[in-house]
Amino acid sequence: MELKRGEFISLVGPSGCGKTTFLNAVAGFVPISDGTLQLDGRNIPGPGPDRAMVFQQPNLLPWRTVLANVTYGLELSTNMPKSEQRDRAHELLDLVGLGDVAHQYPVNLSGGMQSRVNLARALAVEPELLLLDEPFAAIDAQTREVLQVELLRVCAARDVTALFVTHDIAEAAFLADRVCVFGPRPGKIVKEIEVPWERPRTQDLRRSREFLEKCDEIADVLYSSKSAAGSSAQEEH
Amino acid sequence: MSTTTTSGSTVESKADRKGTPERALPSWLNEQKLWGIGAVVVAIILWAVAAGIQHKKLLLPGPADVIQAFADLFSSGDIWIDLWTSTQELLVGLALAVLIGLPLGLLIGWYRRVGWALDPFINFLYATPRIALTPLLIIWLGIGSTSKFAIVFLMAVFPILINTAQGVHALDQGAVRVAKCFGANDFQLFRTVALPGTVPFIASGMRLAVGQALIGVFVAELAGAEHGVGMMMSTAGQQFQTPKVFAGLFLFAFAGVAVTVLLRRVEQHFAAWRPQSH
Repeated sequence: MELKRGEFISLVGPSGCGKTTFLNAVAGFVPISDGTLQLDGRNIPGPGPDRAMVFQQPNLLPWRTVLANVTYGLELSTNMPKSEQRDRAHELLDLVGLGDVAHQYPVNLSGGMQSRVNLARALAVEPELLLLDEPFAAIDAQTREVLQVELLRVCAARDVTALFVTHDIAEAAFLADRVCVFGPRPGKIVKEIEVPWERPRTQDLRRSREFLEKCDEIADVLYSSKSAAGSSAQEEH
Repeated sequence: MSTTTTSGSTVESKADRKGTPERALPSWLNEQKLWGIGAVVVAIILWAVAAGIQHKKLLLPGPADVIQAFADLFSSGDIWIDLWTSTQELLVGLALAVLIGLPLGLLIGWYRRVGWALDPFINFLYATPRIALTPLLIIWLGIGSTSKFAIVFLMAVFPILINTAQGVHALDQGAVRVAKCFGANDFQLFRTVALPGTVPFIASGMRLAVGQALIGVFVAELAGAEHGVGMMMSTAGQQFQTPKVFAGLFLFAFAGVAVTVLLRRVEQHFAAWRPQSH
């Protein structure tokens, strides 16, 4: 499997198929047992600021204001002057629509808002690759649809390359250029499905017949893959 | 940009909601405080009545007697030496407890193996009534201030140490993962996640420590001292100067309340990010 710059790829699969493990391996949290993982032609040694992870839980640091949460990654991984860090954080908070709560503590924010802060924090380090592990799974359905459009807008604005893990087929199709379907055997990608629609995508796309057919196609692969052997996947960037 | 509400306006909005009567209360006074102050006033009246109906004033002095005792104490210069001695014992003992308990607690929480190694000693000393070491410490360190520092330290160090270690243990693993994801090294992880996350635990450990330290000051002085408020109370007790004993008791109580209020302020300042439940 290869990922081009600026591409958005969704990973779907039955639970326990190893999609999160795969993402963690790309992030550098877990060692890989077989095959190679490369970023810009180099093997991945461990966690680093060239890849940023967005978890299912927002995991904001409660003792930091929203602004300080967004600058957190920059503080850890760069020597950027404080004022510059703050400027960039303000910019990103404006981008995700949270410019006016920059000085609040996370405890005062709703789940959807925390999720946006989480995204802004990951984008602040300007990662080569954005890794998202079911970031909207804990969020109510309506807010989730709004956040998906937001995510696409933000990714387009920042030319982000993204790997998005989800169990929600519609979400996978709506966001991605390509959907990779994992089989029940750990770590095997059964099929890659192109999602052709132009960006920016809007909420109307969800209701269109073509979109629903695309979702059916993904679902067919997903549910029939239990019997399929699947081809071994070499994961490369 | 900022959406902070001043405390003054919060009080007002609460008052509005409850439909306060025509006479608005001053901003520092609310219903909760009113009940507390009222109860104290009633208690003092009951105390005065109980003291008044006795035959001998020896057992229970009234409020007026205690105030008189305070006046006598502060007009003669002796009380200042006692106050200064006790305050010094309290502060030095507490400072030592923080200096040792805090880093040690962090170490124990951070490095599991250090925790495992020190666990038997901590359990042993924590379970022992440490105040029972007083005679031994006086033999070792003399009747002067040094033995008092040691006792206050021993009393205060454990709440701080144990709370701090617990705070590090209770760290949010999600926050740790985020820090690691951004490539934080061990020192950064410690400074940006472990330390701020532990502050509320450290603060409550400090509050417990103050109570223990005050016990330490009093008992250490009872066991033998040259000066100190506890010493003064002990001497007064032997001479049946009950009002003076009461005065000493109140001095201890005021010291405890003052330090606790101060620490609660500090706690609130450092934990502004917590949901405000009280």
